[in-house]
Amino acid sequence: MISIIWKRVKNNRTAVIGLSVILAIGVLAVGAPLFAPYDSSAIDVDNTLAAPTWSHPLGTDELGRDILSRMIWGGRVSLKVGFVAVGIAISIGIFIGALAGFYGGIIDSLLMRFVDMMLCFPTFFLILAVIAIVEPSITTIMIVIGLTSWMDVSRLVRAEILTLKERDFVLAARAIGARDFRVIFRHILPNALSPVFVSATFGVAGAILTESGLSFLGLGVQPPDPSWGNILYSGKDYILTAWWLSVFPGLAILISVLCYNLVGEGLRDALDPRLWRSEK
Amino acid sequence: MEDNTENMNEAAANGEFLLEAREITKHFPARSGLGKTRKFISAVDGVSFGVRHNSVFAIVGESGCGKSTLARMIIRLLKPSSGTVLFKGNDLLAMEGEELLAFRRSAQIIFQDPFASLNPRMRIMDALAEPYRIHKLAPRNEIGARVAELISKVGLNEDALSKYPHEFSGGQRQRICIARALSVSPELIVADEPLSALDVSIQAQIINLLQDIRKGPAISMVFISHDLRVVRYLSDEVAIMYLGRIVERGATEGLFSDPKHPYTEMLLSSAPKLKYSREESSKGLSCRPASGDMPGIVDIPAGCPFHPRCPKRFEPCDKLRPELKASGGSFVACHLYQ
Repeated sequence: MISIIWKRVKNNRTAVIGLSVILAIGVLAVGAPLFAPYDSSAIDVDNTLAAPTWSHPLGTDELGRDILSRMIWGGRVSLKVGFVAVGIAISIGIFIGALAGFYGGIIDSLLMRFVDMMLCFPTFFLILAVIAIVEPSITTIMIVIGLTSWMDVSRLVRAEILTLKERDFVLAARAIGARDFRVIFRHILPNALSPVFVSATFGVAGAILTESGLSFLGLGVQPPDPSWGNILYSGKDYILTAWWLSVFPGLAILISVLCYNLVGEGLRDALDPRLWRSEK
Repeated sequence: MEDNTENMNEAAANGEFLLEAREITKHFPARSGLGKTRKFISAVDGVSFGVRHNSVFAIVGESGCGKSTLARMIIRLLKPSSGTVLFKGNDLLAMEGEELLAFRRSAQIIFQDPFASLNPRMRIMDALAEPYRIHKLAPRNEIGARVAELISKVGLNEDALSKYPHEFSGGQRQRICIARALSVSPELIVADEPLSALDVSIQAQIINLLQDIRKGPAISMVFISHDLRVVRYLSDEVAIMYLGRIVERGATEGLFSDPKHPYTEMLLSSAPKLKYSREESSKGLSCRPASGDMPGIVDIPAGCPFHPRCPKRFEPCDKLRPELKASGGSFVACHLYQ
């Protein structure tokens, strides 16, 4: 099964490019202490706002800190926020969606009205409001993004389950005597999850963007800890004189979000069993 | 109706029936647009019949007449709105826990569309092992051997076991579905149009497989189809359904050689034959397409539901609904025989 999916993703060139870039960023972020040429908060007073040179490939900021090193460390934050927030979101989403779709009736109505209510809040401002009350840190940001982005997943899962539970193979499983637990976990969920994986991939991109946005507003990761968003934030004052301060973190956000979206699209195509031929 | 129920009660008392449906009805709510005016569609309306031990009971009817709904109700995948279903004399709808599990072991279903009835993410091996696990029919280390035995029984190779459903053709998948149904050694198999999604050449193979199963250990079958030739070949008794009701019921041979209800006549004359006897040709009894369309199930005509299409309708047909009554060896719901 996994080999079939891998083969299909492999045939999709843009998805492979996206995946390679994501993996490269991932390796850099995980191995930050190895790859970063300088400490992320090491100050070089002689070289403040220095343009890119061989010793500082992406230049330095107003305190003389190396942008490349800060970006590698910042990548850690972005990845962590992306994955943990999405993990929280899909766990809640699958649980609520599965409950609503499988049991239907009043449970479904109540849960879906709750989802509608959550969707009414402009997510970003909800997060801003929460951050204004709770002290901003990576952990609170991850949790808040997770708690405010599960609605799409739960709708997806619910819709999938609604169609799946009437399918003949689910009826056949019931006819053979399978109980709810087996029907849900062996027959329904495995078939309902592929759109969730796809949506999770897009979700990582969204979470990275949200974190960058928050950090850019100064409500996310707090200095001196670097994140792509707050490097961009500190660069905005010097955008006319020191373009490298804004351009490189901006590009990093752009490229990684783009690559997650490319992989998401590749996965979406690869996970659709209707597109499977009897290739092996 | 009285004759009918009397006869059924007698048969039931003798324990002749493996499965018996008594006046089962299924309504589906139909909401019209945004309005809250609730209408009900009766997909199945007061259907009674009995399936005898070791026999094949066929249910015939056009698309949309409620055959599949009926199939799902007699196997408790769908609860009837009213009426009872008895399995070996026990109320199927009241079953719970162990008793229900025992019923699941004794009654199985084969669906129409073999492409929809296998879990696309499960290997055949796991799909077939599932019944053994659920009912603990074999020790864990013997399940593999039992599954291999099962797959060869339906004419597939053992290497099929490690594949996924999408790697098979429709006919092969239907064999797998049959294997799954056979895994629990059921006493009753409900086959819901098992042939209509298959090519003609493959249909013949599946018919032979079903015929083999029938000849095997004590097993009864409810065979739902619209293919009259197959029904005649396979079944012992037939019920003809029209718009959720049985219009004629009786022994297969009798019903085919001497159809009583005008609808049955219409169905039989619309089935093409290769050869017509001289008598039939002289009477102009060659293949005639069934005339008219079945009215929608939402607006079932008053009186006899068949009267708008009936060539033999007369005075009471559009006012009174005929009941199913004994006539000769079978039961007919038609004013011509009341």
